[in-house]
Amino acid sequence: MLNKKEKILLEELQNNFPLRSRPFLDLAKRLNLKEKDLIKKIRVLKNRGIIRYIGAVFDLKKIGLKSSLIALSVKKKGLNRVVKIINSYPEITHNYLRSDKFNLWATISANSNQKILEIIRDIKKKTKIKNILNLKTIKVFKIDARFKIP
Amino acid sequence: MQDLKSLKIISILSQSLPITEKPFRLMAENMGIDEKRLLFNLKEYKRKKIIRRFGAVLNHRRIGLKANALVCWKTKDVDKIGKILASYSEISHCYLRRTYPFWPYNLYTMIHAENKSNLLKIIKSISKKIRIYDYRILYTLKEFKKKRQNLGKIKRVKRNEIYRIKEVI
Repeated sequence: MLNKKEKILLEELQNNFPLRSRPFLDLAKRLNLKEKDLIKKIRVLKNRGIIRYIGAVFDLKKIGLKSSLIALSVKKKGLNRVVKIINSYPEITHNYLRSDKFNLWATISANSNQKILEIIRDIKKKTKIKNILNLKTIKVFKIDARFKIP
Repeated sequence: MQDLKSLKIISILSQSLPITEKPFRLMAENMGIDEKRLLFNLKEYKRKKIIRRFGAVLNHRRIGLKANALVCWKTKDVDKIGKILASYSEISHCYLRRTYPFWPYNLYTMIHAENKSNLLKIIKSISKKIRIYDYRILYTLKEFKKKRQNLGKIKRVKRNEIYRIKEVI
């Protein structure tokens, strides 16, 4: 589990990352640490898989990407095969098993809506599943994967 | 060639920052620009909202948010309800999506909590607040794929978008 100091560090990295030449020195000063020790701590948190990534989070719409969410109803028996097919597309960014009749939910982002339709058509053909919900994004009210650490 | 250069920069910017004393200098070297220029550009991208934020992306399960669900709501009052939903800190994503006659839900939210009972409590309190009782909870049971978009692989970015990015490069 995370200790209190780690939680504070993660919140800072998430919410107040300095865009300055020596960001870790600035952060270290804020947290009363030495730059070297802070860098070590961050590397450990990254290796533990707690930090996925540090960097720029783009607004994908602003760089010209379209997105959609698709949902499929897949029987348990064929699930692995269908997952493999869906995951094989680089345009599929997320794929989850969920608790519903429609149990497989995946997100697609591609250069055009046309490309998204092509991928869905291809998935239908390969999986032989005809009924796929294509829940095109109409409006984004929020994307903010910054979490309050419990 | 200019377009390719912009794409290369986007591609480098979408990689994780090296955890070293001068990470931006390293990144700038890869782009063939100097560090000051890169830091200036990053601030410009943020100001122009091409970059939504710069910082750490955490693994929500590993920081203790173990119960997660996609909750979809059916409403006619999309803008008002969408804004209220977006204001919850437990909601990370809120989208309006198209519907089907047999799948009438139009607002989609990702909701995160420490455990299932807290998650249910949050969902119920949201439902009461927005007075929508026609909703569906789709618990996250298993993650088969989650990856950052490889922006280096985007071959055709809309021209005007490229120019918008180029403005500040």
